[in-house]
Amino acid sequence: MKKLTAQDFEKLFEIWKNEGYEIYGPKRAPYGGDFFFNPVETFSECDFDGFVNTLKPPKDFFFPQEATTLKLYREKLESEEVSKKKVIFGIRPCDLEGLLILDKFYLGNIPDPYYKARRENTLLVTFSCFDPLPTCFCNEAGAGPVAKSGFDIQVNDLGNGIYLAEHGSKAGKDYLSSFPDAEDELIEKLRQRIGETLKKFTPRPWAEKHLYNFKVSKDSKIWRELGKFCLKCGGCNYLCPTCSCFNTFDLQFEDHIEQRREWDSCLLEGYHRMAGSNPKPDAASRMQFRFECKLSPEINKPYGRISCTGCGRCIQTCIGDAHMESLLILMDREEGL
Amino acid sequence: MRHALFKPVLKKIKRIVEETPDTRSFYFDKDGWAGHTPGQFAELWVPGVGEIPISIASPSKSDELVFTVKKVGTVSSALFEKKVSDTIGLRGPFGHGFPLQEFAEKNLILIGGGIGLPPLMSVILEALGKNKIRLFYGARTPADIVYKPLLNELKDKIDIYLTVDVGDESWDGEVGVVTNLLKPELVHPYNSVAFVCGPGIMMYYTVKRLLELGFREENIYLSLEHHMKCAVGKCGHCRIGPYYVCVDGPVFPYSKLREVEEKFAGTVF
Repeated sequence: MKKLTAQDFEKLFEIWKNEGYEIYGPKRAPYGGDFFFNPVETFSECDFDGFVNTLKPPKDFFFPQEATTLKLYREKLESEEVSKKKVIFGIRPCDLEGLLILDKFYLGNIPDPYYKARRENTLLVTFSCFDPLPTCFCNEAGAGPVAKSGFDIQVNDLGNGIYLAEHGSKAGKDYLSSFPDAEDELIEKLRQRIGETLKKFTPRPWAEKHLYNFKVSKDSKIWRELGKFCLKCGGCNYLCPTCSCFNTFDLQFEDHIEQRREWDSCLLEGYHRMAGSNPKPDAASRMQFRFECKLSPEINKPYGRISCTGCGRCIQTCIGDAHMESLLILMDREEGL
Repeated sequence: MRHALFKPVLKKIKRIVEETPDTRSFYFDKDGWAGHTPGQFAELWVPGVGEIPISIASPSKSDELVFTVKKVGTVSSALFEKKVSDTIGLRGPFGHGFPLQEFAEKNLILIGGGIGLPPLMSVILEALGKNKIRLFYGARTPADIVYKPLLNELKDKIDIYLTVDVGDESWDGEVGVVTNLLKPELVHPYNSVAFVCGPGIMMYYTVKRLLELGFREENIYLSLEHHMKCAVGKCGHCRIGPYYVCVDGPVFPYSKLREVEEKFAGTVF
């Protein structure tokens, strides 16, 4: 564990910029709006005041909302694999866990060349989370408030301009090597801080009981109930750090044709529709489709964990309350029925 | 070995055969194409419009690649605008086909409905002279029967039973759904496997009938159709329970599908 100050981070930013990295840090939209990962030049430019998490998860960097995959000029076909050196500074542990799941999905089995190109040459700097929102349940989902592995560097903000940083990779170790080790009392302070943080989470007995114990039958009332609430906007899919579905479509330009990818949502009717039939024509079956993807042990076997990281974005964004917490509460009630 | 995953091979259409008023076969030269097994599929890309997953209708040994397409949606309609020597993109072959090599000694019971015949035709041409084959095929009307000349040629080499939902004055064969053809004296589970491809409702009743006739769930293979975009298990659309139709299928033994149907979201076929 190393001890760093704001000046030390400015030094690190300089090193990264000299090495050709683009740095993205949390920035607040004007007039007190949401946070986004935007390009930053210096550490002081990052907005950490009031920052809990970004509106969109960082999957955007590797799996953009919309991206060109192919370009066809007459008979010449080009594949667009974009790779840039970048540092993502200030990722929360829940979103890091989400990225690790996406890595297993996109890079495992048949690796996706577009995700792979974007994911390479990326440094991930996580900030552990000491002020969870009422919607956060990373503690229950086994993803936070402190990341265990998968980061290059993890920073713990102890306040008063003191930061404790640990490495999670060879690259991270090299960047931190010149900084002094943290004193024992600071490490003890961090331990206390984590303990206090765990007490700040909203108690959710249903989460503990059901997140890792997904047993909802296909004909359960729960799906119909959630289906009634769902407004089919797809917001939960777009903001979910582990939702990975995409649609492809073509665009015609004057001199070429482009094939593009865009985020898709399994709650939209057209996601499932084929010419002539639809295997999931009702909102209830689409609700089951979404939640089994997140929680079913069979489906999540490749990841060794559930595909919910407890970031709480679906709870924040759903205007119909057809989100993960509603599911967990309904699961709890169904048992009592 | 494997071609670039998402980068189609551009190929010129060599020949187009009008199979029925709304169904055409598109022929391509095979050069530069990895070998396939019957039941596998490819993504056909009409540049500027989109991609559709289509079963490969030709056998693995053929010099030609054949795709038989029914005009039903945006991409298939755009494909029907294409003429001989126009270029389209092909990606594939994808997925798991019918496990013919496992069934070298078995009798093949093939049951097709409508545009479900092409993958079964690939099986027939592959297994001809090796397995005993019995084909049951149902179409809406006599005019909707695909591969008429080929079926005529094959009728001395394999057993073929045809039926149509609605007959006309030229038709003196069976009228009714394809399951009506599946009589105990013709379809016996002993030393047999059944390969089924057709519309969902037809497959549903065919499975029911085959189980009645004594077929074991693991000896009934179904070729599924599902909404697909990427064909390599990434876009998510074709997930059924823990499987992706594009990677783990499109051909599944019914024993796997029954579990999925009972437990996971949506209908399987």
